[in-house]
Amino acid sequence: MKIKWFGASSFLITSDNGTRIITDPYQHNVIIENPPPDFKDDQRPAIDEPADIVTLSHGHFDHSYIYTIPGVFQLYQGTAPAEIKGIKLNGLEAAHGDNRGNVMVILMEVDGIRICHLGDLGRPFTRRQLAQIGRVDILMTPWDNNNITMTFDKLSEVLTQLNAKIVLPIHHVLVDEFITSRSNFKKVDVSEMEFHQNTLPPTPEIILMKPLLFQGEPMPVS
Amino acid sequence: MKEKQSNMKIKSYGMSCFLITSDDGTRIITDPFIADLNILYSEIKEKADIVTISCGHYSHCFVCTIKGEPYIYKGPEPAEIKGIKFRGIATRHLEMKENKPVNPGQNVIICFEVDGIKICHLGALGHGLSEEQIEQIGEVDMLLIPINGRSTIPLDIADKVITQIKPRITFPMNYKSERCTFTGWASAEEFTKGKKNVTLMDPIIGSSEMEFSPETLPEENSIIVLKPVY
Repeated sequence: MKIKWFGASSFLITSDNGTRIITDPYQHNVIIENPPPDFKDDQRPAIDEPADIVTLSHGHFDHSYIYTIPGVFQLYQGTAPAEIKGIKLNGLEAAHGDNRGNVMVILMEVDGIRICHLGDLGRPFTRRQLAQIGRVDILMTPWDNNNITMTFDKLSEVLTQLNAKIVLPIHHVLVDEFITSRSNFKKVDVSEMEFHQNTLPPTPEIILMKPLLFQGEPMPVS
Repeated sequence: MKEKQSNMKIKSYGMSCFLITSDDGTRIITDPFIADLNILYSEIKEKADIVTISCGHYSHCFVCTIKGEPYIYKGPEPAEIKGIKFRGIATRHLEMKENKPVNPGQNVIICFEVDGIKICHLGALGHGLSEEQIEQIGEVDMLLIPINGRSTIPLDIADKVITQIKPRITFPMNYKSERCTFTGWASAEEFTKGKKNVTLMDPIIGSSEMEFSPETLPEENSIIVLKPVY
């Protein structure tokens, strides 16, 4: 299976047999009637690739703009376990950072690989939540070091809790010594990578991909 | 013995958002919106099998409160979902720039048939329709038409579009009300004023939902303003 990073919290995951899942599509422009005062008008290319399934972690603008995705697709928001086109999906309700409501942590199994997308998770998991999540092979986690999602101390705890074999930093992605000093960190110059169940690394790796639709470094969204 | 009629239901949630339920229980939600400073209706929290979206404004495409794992139809390419055939007609929506109407963005008119009733949802249509577009829309039993005049067509163009499409039932949508407070928008009362065959539901105790079958459609266009659920 392949994972392509559009930028922010949005990926395209393509299974071996071609099922396409897009996570948290962001709003590329501002066309809301009453934008909140702190809303930043960061223009960037729209996500315009077709999908079979679109998953949303929560209803904020940078995670839930499905309009630019062409074609007919099925929406998954984690409220109940589901199997869509052979992909097993589940959701776990957890807290957004900064008391901004809740997010759905989205869990999916693609070609035997268990993927966990944290959305804008704001704090480490309880033991009960960890039991519900189970094994995670690939973790997509905000790496922002702020209260809107997680500060790095909270993120450290989540990384330990989930112990994923591959960690993909998402959302605003602050690149500093917290990530660069890690021996298992690598930055790659591609926006898409292929993963196979049998060749996942024996020790965890943190991989920063090149966001496909963003200029330069990953940039703040909201 | 007479065969049982198959009845479809339509329920209003305010703005351009309706829940249409087929006789066998397939649930279609149109244009779900996000509530904000001027939109005080309750966001739709219903389960859907299909959600149709006419344009990219969050007052027409906010799907996050909807339950279930619905298919999303935005057109304009036709598609068949759960046995229902959908067609889209690419048009433009409306915005006011220095008090003049402009048509900056895409809108899709969505046509589909439920239990023998041909439904046409005009979305945030921002201009009158050409003969060619009327032909593409084809025969319509139930027309869902925006009327506000600031982000969609104004009353006079809405009247013309109704004359062109010749529906049996018309539901106005996207109008000013106690729960939708945009400046300069037309109200449902302004739209229905002077018209024949009008049912204006009481804003407190009126019906939010009605049932229809092809056999019970009125002969002459009947205008119905449902009381949105909130």
